[in-house]
Amino acid sequence: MMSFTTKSLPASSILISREFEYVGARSQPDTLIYTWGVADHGALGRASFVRPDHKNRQQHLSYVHHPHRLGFGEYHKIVDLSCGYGFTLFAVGKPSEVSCYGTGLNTDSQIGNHEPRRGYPLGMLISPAPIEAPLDKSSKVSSGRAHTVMLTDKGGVWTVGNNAYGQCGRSILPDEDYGRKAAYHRIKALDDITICHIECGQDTSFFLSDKGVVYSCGWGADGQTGRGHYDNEPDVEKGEVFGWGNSEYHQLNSATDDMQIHVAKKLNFPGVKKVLDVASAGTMCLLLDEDGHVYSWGFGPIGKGPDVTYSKIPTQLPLTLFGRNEITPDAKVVSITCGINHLAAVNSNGSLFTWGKNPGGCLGLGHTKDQYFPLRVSIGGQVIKVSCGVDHTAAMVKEIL
Amino acid sequence: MTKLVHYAPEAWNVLRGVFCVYKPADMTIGFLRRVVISNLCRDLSVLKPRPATPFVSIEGSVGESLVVRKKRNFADDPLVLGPRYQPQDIKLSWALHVDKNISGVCVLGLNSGNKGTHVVRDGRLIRTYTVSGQFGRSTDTHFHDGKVVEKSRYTHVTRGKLLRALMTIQSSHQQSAVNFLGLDPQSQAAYDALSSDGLVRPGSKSPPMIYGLSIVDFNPPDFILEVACINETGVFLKILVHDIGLKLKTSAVCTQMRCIRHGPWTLDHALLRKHWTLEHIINNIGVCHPMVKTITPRTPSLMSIDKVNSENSCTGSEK
Amino acid sequence: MMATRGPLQLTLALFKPDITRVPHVVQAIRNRIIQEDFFVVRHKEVRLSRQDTEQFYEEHRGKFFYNRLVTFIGPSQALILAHEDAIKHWRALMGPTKVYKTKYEAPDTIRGMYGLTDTRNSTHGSDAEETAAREMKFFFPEFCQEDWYRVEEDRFRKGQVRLDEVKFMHNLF
Repeated sequence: MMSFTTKSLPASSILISREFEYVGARSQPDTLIYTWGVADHGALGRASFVRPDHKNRQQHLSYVHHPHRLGFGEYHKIVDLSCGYGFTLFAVGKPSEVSCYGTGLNTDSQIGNHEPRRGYPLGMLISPAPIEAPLDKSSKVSSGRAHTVMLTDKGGVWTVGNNAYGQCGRSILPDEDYGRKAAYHRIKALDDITICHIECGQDTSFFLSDKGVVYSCGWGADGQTGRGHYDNEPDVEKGEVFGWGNSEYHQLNSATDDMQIHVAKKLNFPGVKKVLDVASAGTMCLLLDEDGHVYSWGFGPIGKGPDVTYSKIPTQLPLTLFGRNEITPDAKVVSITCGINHLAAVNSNGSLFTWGKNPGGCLGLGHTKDQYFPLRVSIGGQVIKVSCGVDHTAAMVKEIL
Repeated sequence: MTKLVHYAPEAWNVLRGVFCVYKPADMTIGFLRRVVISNLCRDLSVLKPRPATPFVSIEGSVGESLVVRKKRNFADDPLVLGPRYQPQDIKLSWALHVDKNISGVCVLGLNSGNKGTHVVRDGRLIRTYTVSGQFGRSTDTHFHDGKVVEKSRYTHVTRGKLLRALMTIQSSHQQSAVNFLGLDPQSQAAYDALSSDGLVRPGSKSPPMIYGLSIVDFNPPDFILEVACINETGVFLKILVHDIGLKLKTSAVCTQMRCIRHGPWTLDHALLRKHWTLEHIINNIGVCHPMVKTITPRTPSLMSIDKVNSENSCTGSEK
Repeated sequence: MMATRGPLQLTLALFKPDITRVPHVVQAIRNRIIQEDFFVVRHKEVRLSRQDTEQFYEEHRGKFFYNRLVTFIGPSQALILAHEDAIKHWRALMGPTKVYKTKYEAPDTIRGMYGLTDTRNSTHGSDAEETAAREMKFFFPEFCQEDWYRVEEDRFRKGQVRLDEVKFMHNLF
């Protein structure tokens, strides 16, 4: 083969006096926020989608089927985000005064109290607004159907929003109107425990401590809390890991044939290596092993093409669907996420792949047709974190430079 | 098997097929064609030409004895017609229009070998280029000889950042290949095609698509990339370098483009300008003939670079 | 004005708490109801308590999903809908109960489009005339079916009604 050497060419004879400097030598890449999906409930965070200014030729948009860059992400240093049903939460790092922002539906005060007129709380926010919780700095946020969980570095775990099932970790008041008044609650039972991760189901909350213990509260009608009964659980208590909940669609078929499980059972997957990550949608489950292989099972578009919709045992999805080919032979999946009916995976190159139901174009593929196997989303940069709501999706993206 | 040829028609008869030359930069492909043709005419005329067909005349009148006489034929005399082989007698076309600024492998078809160039074009082969660029300025033509429109600093650009920019470009192109697959992305056929090994080749006409993008050399402000692509043009490669500059928040200009592989043809097969002679071209047609045979036009939309490489090494060893 | 219609049947429709809090979904379902030529005879916002749901879902007691039915409480909207074949028509418009399957088998129905999970299946509809009567009694104790059929049905059939967009109810004029 030939050898190549670089050769410096003389600059052109036309002299341009000014030399631009767009970035300094030590500049760090920015984090951008992209949102897409249904825009009607304001969860995409762009006010003009819901309330267009017709003078400036803005159009009302009820959905956006490709990633839309959110200006809010440029003014704030966002450390975490989370999508609930019709709302999106952002945890903002320093130097912002408020540590948590939200946009979208606010019918249960899950984005805090916003009353421009006394007695008329806003049920919907069309652009990000601060959640004025009395907390210092939140490092993680998580959202369920209508409640918010915020994890702070030192000040414990805070919740706000709907508590009809005890998902906020406080006692259930029979006639409480959640939309009228935001009740910020610090879960005192978790004060002495170092919580390292929080996760919300639709009406449940789970907390993982640094010792590997899972705590839960919320709706337990299908045994979601994993605490041995089917009742609502306002108290936070020690639970166990592994798989629990509803199994109507054979999601937990490897452990049991019952319809519901209220005690966590270990799921045995023969032939699967050390598991790094799991994600469960309404009827589908995903599993990620240490080699970056993705396994899926359950009912729905589990990623095996349109003909296969039902699988009791985990089957591996080919890695070629996640960007592995001759040119990038070492690409592997590094994280997986689920909404209720759509799924997402990020590979080691920072590419985002989505598939599943596509209401309002929440897959970000540029159309609203359902997708039955993973397809890459065109997004400018490396995806760090993605969160799937019910009909919208948000992603944190690192710029190239 | 070598054979010594003295007789020009004998050489002319084998002068058909696909061959491959190394096109220098700053030479238009039309000029290259004229040079090759005139070289061939020159070399053919050196060989022993076909003798002129005699003029046959029957003299005398009917009833008497008729005499058949061969005379010198002025209608077929080189002194009247000019040289036996003239530029307009030679058909020469290219498999791909190569931009003036691009140097490197260039596949041509001679006489009835023009059919071969169609096969090469329909085969939708991957071409590999080494593209050199320079950070710090951008020009109106996106090439180094244009008018400088902007200068900017590039001290922040590192090899890692360049690599990251290339990765994003590459993966977005791989995705766009799916759209030109010619299959409905919701169908089982598309799933089967995408989940099997190998890269997706566009099913029909498509915009330029990049399959591989890697750094060969990085020595700021200069850098050399290796680009494997399909359906590209010279302008596309220049704009690619410009875009890389923008992605890295500086400006960049393309300084050199060289095609190092066109499907199975590599630099090893390409004839240098000093070898654009009858003898070398005829030999090269012999080498290229089996390579054209390996190209199957309108194959399924999948191809494997490894396969192309292995086929390539096979033909290399045969040679 | 629309033409005179056949004898009307009444059914009870319930917007469950999962959609009542999403304004654009409520609006979309309302549009769907009007498109399908339903009359909204009565409309009320209700807030179900645990006791209410236990009473309401009495017929499902003992089934494995009974627990998640009765614990699914919150602000809801109850409607009495009128149509020639209201019970069947409304159930067809809603789609099957199992939302997860409906999403693939009948994606154009209300549950297929807006249902969240099998329990949070957006809407409820009576399955027979007796249950419709019982459920209407449950949500609208002040509403008397016999009186309605005697006094108002005829005028509904003749189309002498106007839709009140704000209250989302057809009023006689």
